[in-house]
Amino acid sequence: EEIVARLSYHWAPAHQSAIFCEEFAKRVNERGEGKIRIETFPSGQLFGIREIMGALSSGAVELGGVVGVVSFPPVDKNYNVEAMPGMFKDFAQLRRFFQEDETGQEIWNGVLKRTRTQFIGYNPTGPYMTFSAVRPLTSPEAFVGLKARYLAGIERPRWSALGADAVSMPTREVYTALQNGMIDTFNTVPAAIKAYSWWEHVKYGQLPFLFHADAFTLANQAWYDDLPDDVKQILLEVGAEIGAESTKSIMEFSTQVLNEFEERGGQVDTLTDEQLAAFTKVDDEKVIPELGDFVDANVIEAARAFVAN
Amino acid sequence: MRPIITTLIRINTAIERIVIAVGALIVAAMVLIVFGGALTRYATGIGFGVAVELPPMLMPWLVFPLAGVLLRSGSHIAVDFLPEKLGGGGLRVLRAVIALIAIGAGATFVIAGWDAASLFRDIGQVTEMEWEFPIWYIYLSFPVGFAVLISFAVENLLLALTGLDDTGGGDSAGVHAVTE
Amino acid sequence: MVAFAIGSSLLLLFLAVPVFLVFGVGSSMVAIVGLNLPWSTLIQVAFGAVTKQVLLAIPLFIFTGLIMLRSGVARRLVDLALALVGHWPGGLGIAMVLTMGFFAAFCGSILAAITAVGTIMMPEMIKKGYSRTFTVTLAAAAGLLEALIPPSNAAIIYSSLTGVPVSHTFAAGVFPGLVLMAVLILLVLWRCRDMTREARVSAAGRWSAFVQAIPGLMTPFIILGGIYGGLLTPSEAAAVASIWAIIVGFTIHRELKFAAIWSALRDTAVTTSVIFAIIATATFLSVVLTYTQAPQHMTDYFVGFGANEITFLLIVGVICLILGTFIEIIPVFYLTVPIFMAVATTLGVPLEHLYIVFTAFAGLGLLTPPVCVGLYTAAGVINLSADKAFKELPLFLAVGILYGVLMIFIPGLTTWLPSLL
Ligand code: NA
Ligand code: NA
Repeated sequence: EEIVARLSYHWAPAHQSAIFCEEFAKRVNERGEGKIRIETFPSGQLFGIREIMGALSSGAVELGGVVGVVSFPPVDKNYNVEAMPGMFKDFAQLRRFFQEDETGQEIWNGVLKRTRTQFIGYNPTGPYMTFSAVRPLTSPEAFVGLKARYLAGIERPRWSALGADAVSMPTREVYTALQNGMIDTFNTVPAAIKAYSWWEHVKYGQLPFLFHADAFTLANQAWYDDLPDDVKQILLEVGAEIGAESTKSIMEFSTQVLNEFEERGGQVDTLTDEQLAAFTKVDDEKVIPELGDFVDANVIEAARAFVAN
Repeated sequence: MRPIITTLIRINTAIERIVIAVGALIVAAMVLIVFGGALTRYATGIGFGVAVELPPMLMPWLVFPLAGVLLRSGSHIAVDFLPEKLGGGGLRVLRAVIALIAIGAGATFVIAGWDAASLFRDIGQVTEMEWEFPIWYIYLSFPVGFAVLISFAVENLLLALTGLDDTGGGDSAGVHAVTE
Repeated sequence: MVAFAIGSSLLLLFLAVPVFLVFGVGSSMVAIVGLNLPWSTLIQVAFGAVTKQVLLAIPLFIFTGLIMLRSGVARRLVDLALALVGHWPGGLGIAMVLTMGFFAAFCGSILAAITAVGTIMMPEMIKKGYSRTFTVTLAAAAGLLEALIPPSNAAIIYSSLTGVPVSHTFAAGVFPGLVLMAVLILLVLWRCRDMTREARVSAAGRWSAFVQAIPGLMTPFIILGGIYGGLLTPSEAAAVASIWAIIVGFTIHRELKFAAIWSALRDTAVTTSVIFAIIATATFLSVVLTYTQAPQHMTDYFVGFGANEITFLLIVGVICLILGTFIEIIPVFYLTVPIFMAVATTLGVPLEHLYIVFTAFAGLGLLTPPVCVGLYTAAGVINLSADKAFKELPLFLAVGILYGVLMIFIPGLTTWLPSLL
């Protein structure tokens, strides 16, 4: 008998993560050969970005697209370590921390266990960087007096430390806010400045990337446990393939968008070691001590030790 | 029967007063928080996420406890074609049927609401705000709200079965406290 | 399965079960028994639906309207309208339409607008010999202006369902609202041409009425200026407007009392609960529809049948008209928007245009029995039995349907203003 699974995700059809969700379903359906069929529910028509975790936990859907920084910190705040500026240099290092480091494993396994979910594969959101509409961001002083938009609370201590005024604002309001000068700077993925046309107002970008935001395909644990082994195998195998392809693709796409941004007259400044050190100093002295509400000190320490090796 | 109904009506009247007062206070909080958020942002350039995120989180505690209370005053939107055609006994039967349906639906949603609240308590999920608190505190509004609904539906059922309110019997003070 | 949900819902509706329970019972049975979903799913989706950020503007705009009524602002707007058009044929009726239009520019709730303006205007009209049925029906019909002229709760809900920015849905309603005002004014001019006219108000009288109405007339500028200037979100605009109304009521008109604020808060809580209870349970039904992939099936059907924009919108109009007889605008949106949005996108119909067609036709449901909350509310204001008001219905329905068809065939009325944003 054919097993029918519902895969719900919030991304709009044109979004890179949505394309890979569809590709995931397509390959599973092909290889499942009538044993399993995945029906997809895109654009949050079933569950939104903040609702999907609960839906997976209760079994309202069998599979779901989950954004780590949105859905995991409400269950274990220490997952916020992912979003700490400059902590992990790429997706591979970030993922290894959660898979190989003892403290990382504890966070990762704890979240999946409490939410009764099974990891199927990666489908990342992308690398975050800082953009500005008014001036190049090559020194901490450049931020003084800027009006900064933040989405997650964890971003706020850094804006304050840099001397910027932070405003919380949903994504749909960013374009207008840039247009009328209500905000000057914010962190986002390169794809977003193109997708939302923010680059009409944004003029400067800062590299290296601040952090890498991961997203996942997860399954309801009880449902997964009851699957025949060959079906589990197919899900994990396709999950791994999609994980590798989507990660590569999102990084390439980010580079491509930044190139287009420069062609349009935008400026991307890659910080020199010296400039980077100035930011690291601010982070160490002013930002990290303020992050106690977001990440425990021992977790920050463990992550630092992990990346140092 | 009459003492039971009278007691239930007293209890429900007290619930009604509390729930409406809480609802009014939540609306006041919404107005002040949203206004205050806009004002601080305008005055200082600093915007607080809590001013944006907290007010919608208050909505379930405003809506669900009141939904049951409003059964009493008939404030809910309904098709009243049939009630207007029926009189006396027929109308009482219809009111009893509606009350029974409300009790059945209320019981289903108390269980479903309790399931949801327990789920989020077990997961340990907190709100995604700068000011964190367990999200099941909000989910609790569903079982509480629908329990209130059952209490008011039982009152309606008993009144329909006994016809007490038709004869002016019972302490029906507060029955028409909510008029829209 | 869907047929069962719809069938049982219609039965419960007929039995006079409150609408929010009707949606709850029918669709939860299908979800639990038919789709084998965990019970808590229903609660999770209802939670998601009622805590949507954008919907917060609804109670805030209701509160603004109630404070405007209690602050003496509504009364002064009526006086201004009377000073401007009172001497025209059917002047009082036209003044009511005009005031409803003013009031619509800061109030989000149709029923609050009907109550606020109707309470002042309707007794006056009846005193001057306008028929009670005409007065009631006109007040209910003019209530639809409230949903079209921004700010509007219907627009906010449509935005929350479609993802169209509220500023765009608001802008889409401006010209259709003005056209509806013109249509209603023409209707009154023709229907009341034999009524005794009021005396013309002197220029000085007009000026004084205008000065008195200034605080009220400023409110739309605060709301729309705040939103379109990018200074305020719709919810913030509503909160600012309500605080403004309180200030006006205390310091300028000096008519507001603390007790009146408390009663406005209570009434807002009650109205909000009535609306959001329906939103919560109507979401159950849309979940059932989504799980059964009804939107996709419907899209396939329309595309297969070769529907073009016009035929699609005409069908939408008919469906909204039928649904609107039983339920009001908000649940109609929850039932149909998720389905028809997919079709509209496929056929290339702008979502703002779809919004106006939905509102025009579902809005006629304010008048059509058996559930005609607009008519009930207006009739309630003057203690008239609603079924006595049905006499004028054919005329208003004919005009309303013509208006809706006009909105289908002239998309520019709807899409031009949002396209400038
Ligand atoms: Na309006
Ligand atoms: Na109707």
